[in-house]
Amino acid sequence: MAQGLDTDLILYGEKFSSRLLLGTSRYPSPQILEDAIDIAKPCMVTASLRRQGANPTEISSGFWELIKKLNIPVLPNTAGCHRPEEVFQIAHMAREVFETDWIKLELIGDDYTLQPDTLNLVETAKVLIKDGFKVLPYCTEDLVVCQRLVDVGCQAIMPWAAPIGTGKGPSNPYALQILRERIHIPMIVDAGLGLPSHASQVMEWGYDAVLLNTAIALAHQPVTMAQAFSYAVKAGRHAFLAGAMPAHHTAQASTPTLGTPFWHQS
Amino acid sequence: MHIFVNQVQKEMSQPMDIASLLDVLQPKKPFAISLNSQFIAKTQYASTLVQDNDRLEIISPVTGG
Repeated sequence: MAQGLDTDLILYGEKFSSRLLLGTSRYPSPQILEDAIDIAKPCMVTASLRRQGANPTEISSGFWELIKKLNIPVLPNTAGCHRPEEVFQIAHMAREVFETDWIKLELIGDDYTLQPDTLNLVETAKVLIKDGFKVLPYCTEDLVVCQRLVDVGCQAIMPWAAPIGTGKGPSNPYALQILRERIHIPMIVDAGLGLPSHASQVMEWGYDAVLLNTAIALAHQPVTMAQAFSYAVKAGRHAFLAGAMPAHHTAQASTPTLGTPFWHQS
Repeated sequence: MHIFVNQVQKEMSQPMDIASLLDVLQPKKPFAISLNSQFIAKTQYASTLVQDNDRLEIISPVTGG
């Protein structure tokens, strides 16, 4: 293990001791959500904004009180926005309600896959940054889009592993690994992770953190799964820092062969 | 005159500013407001009039991914 080598996650100049960000939706109960957060100890939790009275009471009731009680930084999202104007409106409302400049920029381009609208994402991020937001854009693994997000001032970006809520794990490993090689700011893999091994995998590739929700919320035992993801993120991070051995095509005996008794006598 | 609050029609006898309207509606805190799809900051509540056919949205925190 590479204990002692790790450093804090730094996003927009702020230090975070955890490399796990958790969504707060779809949990069986507020208590299970609270227990999952307690055990996973994420650096941020995501939240959203909706019309008062539009959701069943179990979704919204007590959520604000829980957020205040947990005292974990909140990352508001712009989920459901399809146009930049909607994003700007929700972002400003979130800043006022949550009293934070952090914003998870979601600009959806396709309802079936919830794929980000990458054609408008960069300009939208640029406007938000100019307005003083600390923007964490949810994007695809498209290298050029990610480069442009960096160009307009994003100090961290969040490429997907797979479409939101699918749990499929990294669907384009090659692109994600190339992206890690080419982009030199913090990157958080957001969306599509289903198993702790998926989280470990992207952390082993050098990603700085992961953001997930459904993989924990819909597990049969969400609190246990939250702990598993917490371990997995740390394991992947340590493996990245330790440096993996080079893979070989042929077997290489690990036990010394010199002095083997009865060598090839039979 | 009538307005729409979170898509529900409400009758009003005359235009009033958002601060006065919120005194009547008493939404659960915390919340943020948009009027006709434009964000209205708290500091603008007292100076922003709600008029006939306006659409007011009262937005509150919910869980999110």
